[in-house]
Amino acid sequence: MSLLARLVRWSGPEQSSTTPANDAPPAPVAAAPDAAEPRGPEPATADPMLADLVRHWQGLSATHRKVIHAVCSEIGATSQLVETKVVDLSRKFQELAANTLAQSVKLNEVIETTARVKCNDREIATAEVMQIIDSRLGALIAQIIQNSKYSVQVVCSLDDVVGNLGQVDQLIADVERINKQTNLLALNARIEAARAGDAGRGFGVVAHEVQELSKSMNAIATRMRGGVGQIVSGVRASHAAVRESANVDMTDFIVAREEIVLLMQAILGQYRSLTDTVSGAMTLSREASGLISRSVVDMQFQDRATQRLQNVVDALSTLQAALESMQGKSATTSGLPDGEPDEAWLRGLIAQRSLGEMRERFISAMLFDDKPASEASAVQESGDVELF
Amino acid sequence: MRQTTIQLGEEVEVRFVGALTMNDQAAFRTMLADVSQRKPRHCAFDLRELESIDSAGIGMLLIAFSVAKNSNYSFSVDHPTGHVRRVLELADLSKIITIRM
Repeated sequence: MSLLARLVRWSGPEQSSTTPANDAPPAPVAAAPDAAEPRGPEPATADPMLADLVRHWQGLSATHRKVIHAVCSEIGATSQLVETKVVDLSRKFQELAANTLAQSVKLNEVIETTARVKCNDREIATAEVMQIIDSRLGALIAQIIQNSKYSVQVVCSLDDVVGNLGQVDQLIADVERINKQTNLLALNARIEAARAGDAGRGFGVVAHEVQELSKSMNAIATRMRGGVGQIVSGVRASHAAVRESANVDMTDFIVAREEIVLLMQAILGQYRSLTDTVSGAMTLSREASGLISRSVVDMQFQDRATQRLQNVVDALSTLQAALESMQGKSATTSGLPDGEPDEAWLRGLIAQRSLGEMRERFISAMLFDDKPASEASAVQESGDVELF
Repeated sequence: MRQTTIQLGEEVEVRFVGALTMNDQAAFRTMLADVSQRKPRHCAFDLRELESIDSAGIGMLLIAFSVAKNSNYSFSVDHPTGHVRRVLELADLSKIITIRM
């Protein structure tokens, strides 16, 4: 009988009457020796090679149990770490989603604020401001050209008045000329009356009165000339002032309308561009908020991951229990003492881990029966156990 | 400013050359009186050769329009170009006077 066949026959699996949880493979159960059963295989101790094989098996079992225990602990700790971090990450993502949503609300406020202008307790749409300014400018320009028309009309009228006053001046000159002739005629009449003696005395009185009237008329004409002269001076001064005023070219104000309209169009264009940009940013913020919210939902994968890892741990625990059972059965059947873990092999396994903290946990779990790292360090310092 | 008045049947056309400003007020007034005496059915101011116009010039166009209205003949401003056209457009003169481009 080959060594392998003998080992199989000696430690063959037994049928379990119970089904382990989590659909794990049934763990071999160590059965006590039954006196009623036929005689089993001869003790392993009788065969040195078999005994050596059993000792190796027991050592390997003990080693594997240590490894499984450490791996289960590590999976549990990792699962806990991931869960904690995912919960923390979810919370931060929710805060981010809320902030992004708040940002979109603020952006909306920016659009609403810039869409209207408050003026004299009246709110005006920004786009309407340009229409109002253009309308006011149009009214102002209409007034300017109407004033220009009136100025030209006033200048024309004053031209007429000055011309008419010239005619009045000419009429006064005519009156003065007639007065001189009248005065001369009255003087001649008085001379002729004096020559006529008593017969001409009455005529002389009349001629004298005519002469006096002529003098009065001359005085009036002189005063009229003075008055008309003052009027002419005043009208000419007014004419000059109005003409000077009408000469002021207002077309610069008219042309300025074009510049103001262009500026307003530029401002309006910039406002629309700003609104478009802010609207775009607002849309992006809302999309980002929705995306983050969906990401938070997606991060609930952690529940399933935790369940899967728990199932893995359960399976490994079942395997560990099976190994322990098999090891006990081997010890009972062979009469050999329980095997010890292969410490050198464990050290090699631990040394291959790249993470220092993981090595520390493996040391604690595999070499110091889960004692805290501080005690493990104390043991290390005392020189009882040589580490790495 | 130089101006030429042409009678075309029942229509009178006045062509302007140079600049129309306040200094042309007297000549403009005389021209208007001449046009009114012709008793046209329509009077057109041809501005294609008018290079510039000031606010007083626009005022004179409004006076010409008023005179035409009071004298029962139609009035139009034809073919303004360059600076003159720009000023007339910005002044919204087409709201009052017929402007033929």
